[in-house]
Amino acid sequence: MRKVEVMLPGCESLPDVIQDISPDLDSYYLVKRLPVVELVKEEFVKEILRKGHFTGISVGTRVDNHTVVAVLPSGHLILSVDKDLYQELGLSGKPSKYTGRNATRFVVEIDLFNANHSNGKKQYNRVLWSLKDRLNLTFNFIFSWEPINEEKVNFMQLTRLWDKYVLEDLSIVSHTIQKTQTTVVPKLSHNQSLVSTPGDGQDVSSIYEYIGTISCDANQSFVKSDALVPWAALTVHGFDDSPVSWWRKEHGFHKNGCNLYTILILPDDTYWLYMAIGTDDECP
Amino acid sequence: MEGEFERIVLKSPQYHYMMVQLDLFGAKANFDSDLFKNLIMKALKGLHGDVGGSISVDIIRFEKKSLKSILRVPSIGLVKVWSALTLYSSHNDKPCHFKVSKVSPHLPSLSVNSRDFTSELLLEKV
Repeated sequence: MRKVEVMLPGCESLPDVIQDISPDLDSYYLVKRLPVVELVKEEFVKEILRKGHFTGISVGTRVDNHTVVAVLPSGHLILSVDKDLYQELGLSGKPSKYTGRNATRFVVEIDLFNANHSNGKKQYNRVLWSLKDRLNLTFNFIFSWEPINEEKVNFMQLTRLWDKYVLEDLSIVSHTIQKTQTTVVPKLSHNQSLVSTPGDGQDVSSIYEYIGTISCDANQSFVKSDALVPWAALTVHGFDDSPVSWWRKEHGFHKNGCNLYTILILPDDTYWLYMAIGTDDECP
Repeated sequence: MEGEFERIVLKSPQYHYMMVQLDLFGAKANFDSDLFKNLIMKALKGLHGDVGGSISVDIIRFEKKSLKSILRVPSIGLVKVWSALTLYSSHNDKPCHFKVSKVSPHLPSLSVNSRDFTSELLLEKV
């Protein structure tokens, strides 16, 4: 994720949990010029991928005109490539859903947990050959890794595996608390109609717009709202250039590549999940 | 109550939000949000005539220093506004242009641009 926002309307003093937030991001790293082949090697799959939640994405390349790669905790490596590169690559993939009849973009998905993805198997050798000997694709890659049940010692394994590459610690995440003076907060309750008559400021788009004005620090005078009722909103911003989004469905970038969600928690423990998707996205 | 939920799909958003920046190529100008809106309306009228002029554009945020702004545009007029901004090239006989950095139907998504992430990390190009 790119950024997380927590919004607590009508809250005078912040709860301690938020105040001294120091998310455990010890395993949030950037590795420069990493060849993709490192991500498919059996040793990496066995030592790292299978032993925790590894999520990674290439940065600095764009999903609408470059090559983008992502690794999911489910053991899938997803490569989104243009036509020329796809033909050079020699791995089977599917045409992208968003390029029309004459596909100019292809998505290659490699299941790293598949039984055939191991030393000596044909499929494994083919992938290795494509990504190493045929095309040596390299990326700047960011990843987070949470080992299951095991201590951080495991990380040493990763540094040993990737000792040729520069690993940069990104755990210093900036964290700001912003107090917004606002006189009005929309009143929310779980039984209200979310698609009420437009313009009364109580339908779901207006509420989302309200959250947006706060997060963009915008002028709020045009938002219609009501009495003060406590609720909380948590917004998580993903990457616009990710090749996948909800439930491993393809994600693209056309007019925008929105990839975020908001969880709005109401006092009676019900919640709303607002998934904002972009122009090249399938309804989750 | 477990597992009970209602799902709503909103397909045609009423508004789109645009993050734009006016570049005056170093020329000095004293803008406030009203003047900025006037400029946008001028651009709209210039390209699309009265039809363009009838689109209601709201300035929901304006930074005087950087001339960055977030506009709220009815989705139906988005293409007109976008094209008018793209083709607008001079202000008071001095060259200028609008940079559109992000467009989205979801306002919160404009608070961060993951495409700037690379410059934040000071990466060299691969």
